[in-house]
Amino acid sequence: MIRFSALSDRITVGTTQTTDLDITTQDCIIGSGCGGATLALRLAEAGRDVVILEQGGLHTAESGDLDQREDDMLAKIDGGRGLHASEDLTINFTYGRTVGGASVHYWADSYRTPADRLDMWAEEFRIEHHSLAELEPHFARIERDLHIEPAPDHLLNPLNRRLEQATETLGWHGHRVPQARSGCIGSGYCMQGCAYDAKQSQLVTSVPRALELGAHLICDARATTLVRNGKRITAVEGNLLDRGSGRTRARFRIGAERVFVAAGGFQTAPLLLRNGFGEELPALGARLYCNPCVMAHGFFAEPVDQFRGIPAGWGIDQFRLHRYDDNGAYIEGGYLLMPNQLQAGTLAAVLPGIGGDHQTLMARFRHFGGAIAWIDDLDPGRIEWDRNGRIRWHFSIGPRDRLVCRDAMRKGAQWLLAAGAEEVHLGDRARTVVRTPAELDVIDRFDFGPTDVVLAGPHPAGAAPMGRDPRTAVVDSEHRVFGTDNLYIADPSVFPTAVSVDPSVTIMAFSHRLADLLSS
Amino acid sequence: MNGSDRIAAGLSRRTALKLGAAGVLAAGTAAWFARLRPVAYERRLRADETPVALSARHFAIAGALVEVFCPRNGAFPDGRMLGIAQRIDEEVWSMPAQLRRDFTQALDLLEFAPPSVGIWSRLTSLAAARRADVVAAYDRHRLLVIRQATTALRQVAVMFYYNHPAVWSAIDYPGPFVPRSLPASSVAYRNELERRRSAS
Ligand SMILES: Cc1cc2nc3c(=O)[nH]c(=O)nc-3n(C[C@H](O)[C@H](O)[C@H](O)COP(=O)(O)OP(=O)(O)OC[C@H]3O[C@@H](n4cnc5c(N)ncnc54)[C@H](O)[C@@H]3O)c2cc1C
Ligand code: SF4
Repeated sequence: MIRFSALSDRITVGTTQTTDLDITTQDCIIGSGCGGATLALRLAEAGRDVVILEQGGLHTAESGDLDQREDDMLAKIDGGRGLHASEDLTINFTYGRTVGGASVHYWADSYRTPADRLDMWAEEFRIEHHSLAELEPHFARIERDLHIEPAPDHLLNPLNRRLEQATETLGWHGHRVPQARSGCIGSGYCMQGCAYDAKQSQLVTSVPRALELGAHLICDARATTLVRNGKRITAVEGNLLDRGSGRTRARFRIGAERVFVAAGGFQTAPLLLRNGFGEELPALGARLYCNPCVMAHGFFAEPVDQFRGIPAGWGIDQFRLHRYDDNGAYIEGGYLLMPNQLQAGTLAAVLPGIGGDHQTLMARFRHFGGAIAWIDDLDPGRIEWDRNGRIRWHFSIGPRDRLVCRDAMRKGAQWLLAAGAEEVHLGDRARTVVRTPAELDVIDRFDFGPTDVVLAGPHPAGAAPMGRDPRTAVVDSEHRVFGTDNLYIADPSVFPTAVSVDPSVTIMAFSHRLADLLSS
Repeated sequence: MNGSDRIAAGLSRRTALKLGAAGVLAAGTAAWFARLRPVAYERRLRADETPVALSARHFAIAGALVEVFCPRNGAFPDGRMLGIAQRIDEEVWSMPAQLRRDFTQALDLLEFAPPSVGIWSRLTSLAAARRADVVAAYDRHRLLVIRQATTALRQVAVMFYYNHPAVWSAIDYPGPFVPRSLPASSVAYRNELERRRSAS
């Protein structure tokens, strides 16, 4: 178990702070997720003096904080306590607000960036320095550091095992999902944060390693202001927050030679917009991707206990790429398809129905097991920092993504039926239930509009994309914000599109690459 | 035709008139305020309920919705008795001001929208069965804003309900492996709740 108590001299806990902080460092990193923590580690390894600012609290296994209850854990680790959504409520956004960021929530699926995606970014968006060959050594290191291995048999729950078999029945292509775990006991609570320090989140990997090398973590510390002098950012200012009430206890000011924003895909663009960068950089906030997740819920005669074991040990990659006919009409694909894992509160929130009807479904909790697809979205949304100082995430399912959502839901339902589900609940307000593949055409009428079905958006990307031209991009290929000398972005906001696989390894690899570029 | 179907039929007639959300609500709200005396929402709270973040009105609306979303039913306990309305109050206490405003507006919308489904009453004034019919009609409402408010409140209520250990046996959920550790916000809320209770 990681002993943060032994690192306490490297940690300032904002919630206990009563006086203002004013310190100076070489590198100040805003955000301790995959992007920020990985970068902190690499900079600390290079001997730099690093301060990590994290607006969330330090919640650790050592102190018993990770208690496996959904509502408690949403309050501790989720950016919006589970309540944030797109403006029209089409998509529920889940993201991190804790030391370690969203990796404390995550499922630990750990894919290298597909070569076709990196090629597309290079060709269409003119991104340099991030080819497969340049990232390859970083992928290898990440896989080593995070113990990434294909999911072993013993961690698969009955739902995963059934879906693995059903893949063969359908003649589809699937694989054991590479997982970042060490000593996992398959408790089923990855999304609530691992109480055993087995999941290789940033909380138990890069953060403590960076601290051991001398980095300084300030938690409960929300950066608000990037103090600017011409092209240079001279300091980061913000508030030290009381964790209980969210109120400001004191202020901080970190003077820094270089500033890195790694606040995550939903928060980095707003921080820059708030600081006025939108006036110079029209692409800031535009082109937000989030991998909308479409679900189908199978009901099985036997318990499938999807709430135990690891979430997705087996996955379908056959449909990752969109397929079109010779006339450019969509045929299928554009998503990864996985077994779903939902604890009871979340399953209840996504199943339709009210009162007794809904309870009748929930009474069969152990028999429900679902499929989930992350859509490689083509119709991006945008982020706005409005006149009242409020972040607005505008995201709806566009016409191209609607076709993909339908195909993903159809394939998910087909998969569940092939795995032996007696019924598949599509989760729409009309409470559609299908029992045979022949009934799946009903999905062609689904619009995926607000409140039609519950969609989740756990993988933000874009809104501060990398590129060559400040009219269409926000950072250059060295992650530097156009028009500045020392302000960088180190998270998926810089991706020009979604990644087409779960993004954490790509985010970490980009941070490694940034560290290389800085040292060269 | 059951109650909620009747309400839905009334709703589609109404929406055929192409009243916008504002029109439906303005017409309905004006009518109530003209016809009804102010309601003592405090009297609609249970003895063990103490609003901290919400007003008595908003707390009572949340409680009325919890009764619809999480009713006593066979092995399922009554969500309101389990304190789910109080837990919603706690959540609101932790929200930033803007989200809090959205949330209370959603509660008001649902309280005052029964006329949009042909029922001339506040939601909290309706008997439980009638209230359930109205909420079912909200869930299918033609007006997006009412569906959004219903969905948001339903999701919050059931999230807290199914995280209550008293519900786990009804769904055959064995529960977590580790002891509970309250979030800092819950500890702070409970302290405030205690303070208010002892003050009154
Ligand atoms: C439920 C769930 C499951 C997932 N499963 C997987 C998976 O299996 N595989 C995978 O690859 N990916 C998965 N992801 C996605 C992955 O976890 C994220 O993409 C990744 O962790 C994001 O890292 P990041 O560094 O961009 O941002 P984050 O992890 O969001 O970190 C940003 C941090 O910055 C902090 N911050 C924000 N603003 C400020 C500010 N102003 N001042 C100070 N601090 C600030 C935040 O509190 C946060 O902790 C999942 C995500 C979720 C939510
Ligand atoms: S399934 Fe494994 S990694 Fe996930 S929370 Fe349980 S022990 Fe930790």
